Amino acid sequence: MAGLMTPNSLDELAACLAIGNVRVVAGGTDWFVRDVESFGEEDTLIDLSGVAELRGVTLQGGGLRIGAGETMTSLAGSPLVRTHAACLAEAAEHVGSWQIRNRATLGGNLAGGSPAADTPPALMALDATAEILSLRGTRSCSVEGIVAQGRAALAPDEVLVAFTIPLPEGRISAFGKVGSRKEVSIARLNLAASLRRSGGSLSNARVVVGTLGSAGRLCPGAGEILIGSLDLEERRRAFCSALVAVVEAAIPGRSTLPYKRSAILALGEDVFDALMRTSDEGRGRS
Amino acid sequence: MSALKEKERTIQRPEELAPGRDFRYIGQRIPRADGPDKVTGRYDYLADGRYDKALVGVVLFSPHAHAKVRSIDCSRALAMPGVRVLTWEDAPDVLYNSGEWFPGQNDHPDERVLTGHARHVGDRIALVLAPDERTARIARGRIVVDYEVLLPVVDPEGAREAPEALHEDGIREFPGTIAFGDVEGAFASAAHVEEDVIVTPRIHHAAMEPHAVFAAPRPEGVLELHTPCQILFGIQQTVAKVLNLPFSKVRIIKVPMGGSFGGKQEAVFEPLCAWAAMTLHRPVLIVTNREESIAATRVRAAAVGRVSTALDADGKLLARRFDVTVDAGAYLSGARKVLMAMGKKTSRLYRIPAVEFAGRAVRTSTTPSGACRGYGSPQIHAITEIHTDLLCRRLGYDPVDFRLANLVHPGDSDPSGASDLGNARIIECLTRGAERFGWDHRSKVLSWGRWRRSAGFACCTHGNGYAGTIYHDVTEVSVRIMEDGSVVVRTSLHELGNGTLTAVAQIVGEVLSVPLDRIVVTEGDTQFTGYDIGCQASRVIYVCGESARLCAEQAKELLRSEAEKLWGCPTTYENGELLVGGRRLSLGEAVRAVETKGGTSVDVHLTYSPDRNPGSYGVHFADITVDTCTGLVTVNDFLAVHDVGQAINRNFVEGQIYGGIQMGLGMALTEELAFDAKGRPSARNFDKYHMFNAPEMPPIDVLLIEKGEPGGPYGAKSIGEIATVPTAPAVVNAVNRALGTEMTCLPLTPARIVEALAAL
Repeated sequence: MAGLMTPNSLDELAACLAIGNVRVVAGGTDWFVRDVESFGEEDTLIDLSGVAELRGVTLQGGGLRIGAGETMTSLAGSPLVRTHAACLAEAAEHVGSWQIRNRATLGGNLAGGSPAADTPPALMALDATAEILSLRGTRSCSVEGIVAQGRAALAPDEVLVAFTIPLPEGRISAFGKVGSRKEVSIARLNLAASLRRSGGSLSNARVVVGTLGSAGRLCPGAGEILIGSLDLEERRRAFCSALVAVVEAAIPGRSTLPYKRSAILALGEDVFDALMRTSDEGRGRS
Repeated sequence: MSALKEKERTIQRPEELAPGRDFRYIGQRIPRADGPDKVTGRYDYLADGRYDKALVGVVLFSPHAHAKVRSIDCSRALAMPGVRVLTWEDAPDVLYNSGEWFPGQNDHPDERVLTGHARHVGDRIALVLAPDERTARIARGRIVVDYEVLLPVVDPEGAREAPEALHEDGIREFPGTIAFGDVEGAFASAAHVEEDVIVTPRIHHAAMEPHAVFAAPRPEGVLELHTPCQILFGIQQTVAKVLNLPFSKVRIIKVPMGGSFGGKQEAVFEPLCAWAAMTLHRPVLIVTNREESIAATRVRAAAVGRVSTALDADGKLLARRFDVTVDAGAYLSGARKVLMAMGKKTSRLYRIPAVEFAGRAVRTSTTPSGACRGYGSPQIHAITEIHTDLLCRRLGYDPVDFRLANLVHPGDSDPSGASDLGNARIIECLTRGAERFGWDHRSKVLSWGRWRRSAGFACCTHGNGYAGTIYHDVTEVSVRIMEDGSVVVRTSLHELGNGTLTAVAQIVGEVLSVPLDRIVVTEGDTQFTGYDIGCQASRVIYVCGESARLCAEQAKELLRSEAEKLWGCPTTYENGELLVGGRRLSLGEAVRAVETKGGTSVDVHLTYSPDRNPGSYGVHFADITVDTCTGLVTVNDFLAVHDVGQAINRNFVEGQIYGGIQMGLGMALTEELAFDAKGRPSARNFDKYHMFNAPEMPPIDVLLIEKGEPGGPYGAKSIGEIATVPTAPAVVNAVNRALGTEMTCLPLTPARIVEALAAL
């Protein structure tokens, strides 16, 4: 007989994981559409939404710790996330509809394994690390590593507990997305980028393109150009060209290539402009 | 019973139709009667009801576009308690056409309630029944079907040359032509000839309520069927044919409907449900979900239209030639009717001395098409209005001036021989619309960064019923003034969700001066309400509304004359009361007296058939911005101008227009049910099928031209279908103008726009 477990703490969750044949859901926004029909009579569903330790956004030891159970709505509205991880707040703001954002969680967005997910590129651009719980204990893994492994990254009984984003001084970030519509749209392309500014110089760029077969693809070349020495207009053009090259290399021969190589130009322009605007504002204040 | 033909009556005089008349209810913003129940969740749709002893049926659909069933193993399903399965082998070998709504229309029959030869993904192989839906769905998952997969035909152009016809009847195409005037001569003598090919997409209706139907065997061999449909008597004749029952034994009841847009006009699951109920001697409820509603019901027919226009040196239209292919999908359904409806529009918008319309409906291995809001009108107007803008650009004509020189005028006849156009106010729509919209400055192309902004518009016409066509147009209505002065209007109307019942109550209330909360207008029940050919063809207000007005007038006169007889003194009907001599009597008092002392009830029954079928007209203007990198189009602003004769309910008219534009924007930019080479649909649900949603919608300005249409109630004519007709070509014309492209394949998806820009 199929069962439902609703643990309220990590300890209770651990006990639930021990019973075997478990399926773990947080917001359930993908699972109930995609997987509910394959839910077998011997399976047990574990609902994570009551686990208190999966919530919370806090500054801890020079990093930003975000519970994997935080919803898209709460991330988009969190002053801490907006201040320290702007691209993540923007990505969360562009997921699905209001109703979806009220349920869908940061952990679920990554664990779902969709190459079109919006928050994994942002987490990658921010160099986030995930904390993963199972009966075998707790391990940590970079989001980059999880994305690289795709759906195999997490075992069925593994649960994402939290993400930690390092907070080097002066970091700014931005996110952009192209879908079929402004709202309630799955990304055809998304782009997250972060960099550090200190004094007049830019450094530590991380540029991540999503939806090119994986949820995030790091683009070191585009990152170098972003913080390079070209003047602003040339840098903007070169940044966009580098992104086009990334698209061409990632999906050669695909029917979607002609469209994506054009659309990435728009994302490149928008993300570049947002970063430089923020960068200018920063200089203005200091 | 009094049968009334238009010849025998006086239609309302122009002064009676004049706008600005001091109406009590007509033209007002009256809330719909079912509104509060709907928004508070108290309005039960079919699937919300409880059906004691009923089996819930889910259909086992083919996963293949073209396949024959070698064998089917239902044993694991049948092992579940209470589960029954009916397969194609049990089904009657009766072929029908789901788009045929009257016996003898001779629409080619090629569909069975269940089939062992699947002709599209979603074709009906078996019906799985259980005491509840969940069990039925689990049981369905346990059935194993062995298919022999065959080659599908996906491209409608290829259907005519396919090595083997998809149906045993061997028919490759269902042609149709309309022609008048000297087309050859006009093209031979033309100063200019322009030609384009326009492709319009297959579209899902997306009514909020997916298809559902309930059937129950009743005593004396009666089959009772509850359905949210549009043509009760059409469903009746199809079900009677499949079950081989007399019409009198087939009772169809229209139940609350959560939207149709034509998707519930044809007989989709009704014959299957009726047959299952009679076969199993049990009530049966068939329910579907969104994926089933998308794959296995009906779609707007995709069309490929080649149009050539012959012009003289001054830009006057001399002739047009059309070659149109309509994709019927797996079964012919109503597709040939859609084709002919497209042809019928070609002579009613512009003055064209000669037209040759040749086309064909072809069957492919895709979801069957059928009625969809506008019934071919959005398709043919996309073809002609996109072409008209392109020919203007190529020849250097201003698109407004060109149209003004060629549009029809009030009182024009239709050279094809169909009904006269009536008070056709399209020129006024265009001139007033262009001024209000600011066409002169909005139509300029603005360019900054990767963005281009401009505007476009399109004109259109649509009908008001079937007068002047090969189909009959008949409706019956009864008005009974009751003993307390309240009123019941018995009709076979179908409330499709657009406010029909309230609008008819407004018409009757206006005639009788009775408050609307004292009037009930019924929907149809084939055993208790009169004949009606169905809520289709944009005929409800112009035909059924007029019949209600006439019937109410007769009821009023019956009460007045009976009262005069009874009291023997001059009697008049004023403001919802009778003035008998010097005495004022309430309606209730008068009705009670006439019944008790005069022995007469005030109940009038009327059969009505219109002689006129004028045109409704409209122009839509769209102001758009295109992102040339992403190909995304933002619709910034929108104006809809409609010649409606007279609005019965201003809220309803505007509501129809807002909704029509939402559908039209989808047709222009996002909505398309495509199939791959194997006949698999590209979209199975709303994750991949993208409608224009609320955040995308532009602000919409509505301008109504209300000059009164003779023959319509208080001068009213149709709006519900035409509201969606000019939207798509208006947007396409705007995008082509902004980008300098000549895109003619709808919808203009981001990928198509980027591709067109790359080819410039």
